[in-house]
Amino acid sequence: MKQLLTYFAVLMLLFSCHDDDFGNNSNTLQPTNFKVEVKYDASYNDTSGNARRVKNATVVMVNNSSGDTYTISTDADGFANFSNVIPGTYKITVSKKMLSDEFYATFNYVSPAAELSFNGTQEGATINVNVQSTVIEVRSARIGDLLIKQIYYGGSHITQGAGIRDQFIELYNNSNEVIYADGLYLGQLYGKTNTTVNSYTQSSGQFDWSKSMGMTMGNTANTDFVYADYVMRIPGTGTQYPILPGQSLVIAQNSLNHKSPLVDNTGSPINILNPSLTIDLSGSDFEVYLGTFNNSIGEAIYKFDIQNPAVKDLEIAYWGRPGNWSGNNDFIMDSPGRDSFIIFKMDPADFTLLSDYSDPSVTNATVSTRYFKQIPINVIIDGVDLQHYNPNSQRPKMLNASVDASFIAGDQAYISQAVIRKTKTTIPAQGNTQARKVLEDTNNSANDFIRQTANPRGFQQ
Amino acid sequence: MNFKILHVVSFLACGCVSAQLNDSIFIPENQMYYKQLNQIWENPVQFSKQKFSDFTETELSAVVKDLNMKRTQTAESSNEFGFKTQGIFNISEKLRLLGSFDYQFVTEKNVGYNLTNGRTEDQFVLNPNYLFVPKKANWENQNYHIKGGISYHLWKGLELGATVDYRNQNSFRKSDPRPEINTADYSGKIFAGYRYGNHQLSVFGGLGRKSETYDIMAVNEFINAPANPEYYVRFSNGYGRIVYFPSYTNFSYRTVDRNFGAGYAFENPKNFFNINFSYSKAMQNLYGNTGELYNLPTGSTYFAESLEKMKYRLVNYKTDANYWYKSEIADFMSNVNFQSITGDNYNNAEFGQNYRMTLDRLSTANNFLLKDGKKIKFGAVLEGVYNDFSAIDLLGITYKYVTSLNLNLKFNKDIFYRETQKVNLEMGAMSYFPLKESLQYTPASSNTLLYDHVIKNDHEFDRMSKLGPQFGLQFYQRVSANTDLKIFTNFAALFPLSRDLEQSTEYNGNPNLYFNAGISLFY
Repeated sequence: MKQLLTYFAVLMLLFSCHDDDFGNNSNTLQPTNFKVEVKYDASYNDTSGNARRVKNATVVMVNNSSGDTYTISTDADGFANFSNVIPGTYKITVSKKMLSDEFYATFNYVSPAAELSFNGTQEGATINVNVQSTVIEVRSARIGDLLIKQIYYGGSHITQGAGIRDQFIELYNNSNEVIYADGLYLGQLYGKTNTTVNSYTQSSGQFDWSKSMGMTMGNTANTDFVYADYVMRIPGTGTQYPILPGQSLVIAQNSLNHKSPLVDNTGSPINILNPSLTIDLSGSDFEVYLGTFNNSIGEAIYKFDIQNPAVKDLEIAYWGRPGNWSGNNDFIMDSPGRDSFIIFKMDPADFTLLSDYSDPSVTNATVSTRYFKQIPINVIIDGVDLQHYNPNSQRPKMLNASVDASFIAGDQAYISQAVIRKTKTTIPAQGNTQARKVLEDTNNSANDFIRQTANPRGFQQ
Repeated sequence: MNFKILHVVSFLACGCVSAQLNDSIFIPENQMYYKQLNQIWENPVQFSKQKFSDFTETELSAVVKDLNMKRTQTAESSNEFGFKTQGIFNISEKLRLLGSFDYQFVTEKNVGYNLTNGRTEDQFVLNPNYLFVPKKANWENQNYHIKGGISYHLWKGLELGATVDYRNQNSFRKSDPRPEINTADYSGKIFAGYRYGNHQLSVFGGLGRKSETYDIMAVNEFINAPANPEYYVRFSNGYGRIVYFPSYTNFSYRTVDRNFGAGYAFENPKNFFNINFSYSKAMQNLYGNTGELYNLPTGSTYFAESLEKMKYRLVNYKTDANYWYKSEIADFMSNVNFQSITGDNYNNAEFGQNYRMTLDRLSTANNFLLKDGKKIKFGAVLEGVYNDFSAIDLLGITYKYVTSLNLNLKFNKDIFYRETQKVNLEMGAMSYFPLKESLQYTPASSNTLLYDHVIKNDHEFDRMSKLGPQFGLQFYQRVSANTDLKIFTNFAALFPLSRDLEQSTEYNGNPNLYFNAGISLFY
C-alpha cells in the first residue's frame, strides 16, 4: 500500500502545473502613452549646431499587427503626445509641408522651392509600458520634376478581361520644362514579402542586405541603396524622347488594344468577354518585349509577351546575373501589390559597374541563386512602394522616407484598378502654353496617390 | 480507418457474453440510468461493485434545430444524423468493459463571424484565437468518437481502470472563404482504487493531445481584402481585439491536456455515494506556416516551435459528487458538480497577455424514479446550472460579466405497459434566467467589428430570460427474449420572455425549435 501511494505521489508530481507556461517575459498588455519627438535632419541645425524640432508636423502611427492607426500633430515644441496606444510594433510616419515663408521664418534663408515636404519614418518601433518615446528625424523630400504618375499592376478580370496582360506604368512631366526620357531607367525592386523578423532581416522585417554574401559596406547597404531584380532603360540618344510639361509617357507590358481579340505567341486566340474591363494600350509610348532577350539567353518566349512592332521596346538593362537570370520571362508586376518601382538616371557605364548581390537569406551560392542590382538611392528621381491589398499579407517598405515615406495599396487584384497621383492644381493656359495639371508630390504615396479605374494618360477623377 | 474502428466496437459490443448479475440495472430501461453510465466513464473503478447488466445499444437518430434566438457565431439551423453503439460488458466479477462508438453528420446553415469548428450555442464565447469573416455560409461536419474503458479488480481491495478516447472531426465551409478543418483528439486516463469495506479511495491521471489543422481555400482569394468587408478574413485575438494573421491559409492548433485527481466512494446495498476532485490544464498552441519563415506567400503548417504564434491555457478545477439511492420500488439520484475554469491567452510576438475568461459553474441534477418492477410509475428530473462568467480583453477593450441560472424540470411515466411493450411519456420545461450582467466596452482600436456584430448581440442574448416546454415519447418493443427496440422522439421549444433581443438585434422574434427522433436496438 505504501509503495502504491508513493507511486501515485510521483504521478501527481509529473502532472502538476508549471507557472512558466508563458515564459519569463510574460506581461499584461495594456494601452499606454507614447511621445514622438520630431527633429529636422542635421543639415537644418541651428547656428549652435543643435537640432531644430518640427512643429505642426503630422505624425501617423500604424500598428503592424492590427493596422490600428493614431494620427496627431506635433505641438509648438515638436512633440506628438499620444495617449491610450495599444502596445506593439509600429510604423511611424512623419510628414510636414512647408511654404516658402514658413521656411524662411524657420531657417532664416530662402526656400529652394515654393513648397517643400519633409518626411521621416521609423519602422519596427516598439511601444509598451517600458518604451514610451522615440525620436524621428525628417528630411526634405526629393523634388522631382519627372514622376511616376500611374501604376496599373492589379490587372483586369482573369476570364472576362485581360488578366495581367494589360499592366502599364505611366510617367509624367510635372514641371514647366521639357524633360527628355532618353536613358531613363525603370527599376522593379526586390525585398521581403512578409514582415517576419529573423536573423537576416532588419527590425522592420525587410532584408538586412549588409548580411548578403560578399557585402562589406555595413548598414549603408540598407540605408543608401535599393535592390532591383529587373531594370529596363528607355533607349535614345539624349533628345529623342521629349516629355512636354503636363504630358505623360506610357510604358506597357504589351502595347496592344486589349479590348479586341488577340492571338498569342502560340497561335491560340485570346477572346475578351468584357472589353469594358480592360484598356487600349496600342497608343503607349513603349512596351517591354522580352522575346529578343529570352532568345539571346536560350529561354522560350512567353506566350503572352506579344510584340507590337509599331511601338518601341525598352532595353533590358538588368535581368539577373548571367547564368543566374531572374525568374520572370516578361515584365510582370505583382497583381496583389508586392512591388516597388523607381525611375533613375545614370550613365550606362556607371550602371554596368554597379554590383549585384544575393539576398541575405542565401548562405551558399548555387546555380539557382538569384542576384539583385544594387542601386544608389541618390540617383533615384522618383519611387513608389506598393503594398499588398490584404493587410494580413503586408510587407515591409523598400524605399526610405526621402523617396516614399509610406505606401499605397489597391482594393484588390483584377478589378481594373490602378493607383494614380492626385491632381494638386491646374495651371491655366497662358499664350502659347497649354493648361497643365500639377500632380501631388510629397514623396508620401499614401497622401499622393488614390485608387481608381486604370486610365492611360488620364487624371484623378 | 473507420472500418478498423467498427471492428473494435463490434468486439467490444458483441464479443463478450456473461451472465447478468442479480438485481442489476439495465441502463436502457430509463433515461435517468444513462446519467450513471456517464459517471462510470468518469471513474470506472468507483462503480466496479455496482451491478449493471450487460447491454449493447445501437441507435440511429436525427436532430433538427431551428435557432432563431442565438449567439452570433452559431448556425441559424442545423440537421444532424447520428449512429451510435455503446455497451457495458461484465466479463467476470472482476472485469468490466465499456465501449462506445459515435458518428454524426451535421449540416449547418448560415454560420457567420466564425471560420472554426467551435460554436457558441452552448458556451458564452469562443476560444480567443480564431479567424472569422462576417459572411454567413453553410457547413458540413463529420464527427467520429470511439472510446473504451475497463475496470479490473486486481488484488484484495486494489482495483485498476483505464479509459481511452479518440475523436475525429472534419468540417467544411461551403462558400468562400472555405476552411477545411481536420481534428484528431486522443486521450487516455488511468485509475487506481483501494477498497476497504464499503469505502474506496481512488486516484487518476490522464493525458490528451488534440491536433487541428486549418486549410483555408477560396474559389476567389482576390476578394479577401478590406474593400470587401464581408469576405475579408480577420483574426480575433481576445474578445474584441482584431489583429492580422499572415498564416491564414494554413495553420494549426495543438492542445495538450494533462489532468489528475482523486476520488472517494461509499456504497452499501441501497446507497451509493461518490465524489471526485480533479485538476486539468489544457495548453493550446497556435502554429503558423512556413511561408512566413521562407518569404513565400503560402507554406505548410506543422507543430514546430519556430512556427508557434499564440497560446491559450485552460485550467479547470472540478468537483463532482453523486448520491444514488436504489430500492425495488424507487431510485433517487443526485449529482452536484462544481467547476472553476480559467482561460488566458499569450501572444508570442508581443510577449504578453490581453485576454482572460473565468467561469464558475455549479450544477445539480436530481432524478427520482418510482418503479413497479420494470414499469416506471413516475419519474421526475430537476436540473439546475448556475454560471458565473466573465471575459475581459485589455486591448479589446471589453469586459463582459454574466451570472445566470438554467432550470429544467421534467416528469416521465410509462403511460402504457405490457410485458412486451411500453410507452414512456416525458413532459417538462426548460428555462434560462440572467441574474446579473454587465458589458463594458471602451474602444481602443478603430476596428469595432467584433463588438458591433458579435459581442453586443451575444450579450443581448445572454441578458434575456427564456422559457419553453419539452416533450418526449419513447416506445419500447420486446423483439426477442434478449432484444428490445426503442423508438423515440423529443420536441422542445424555447421562447424569449421579453422583446429586448428583438428590438436591439436582428432577431425575428420566433422561438427556437428542437426536434429529434430515432430508433435504437438494445440487447
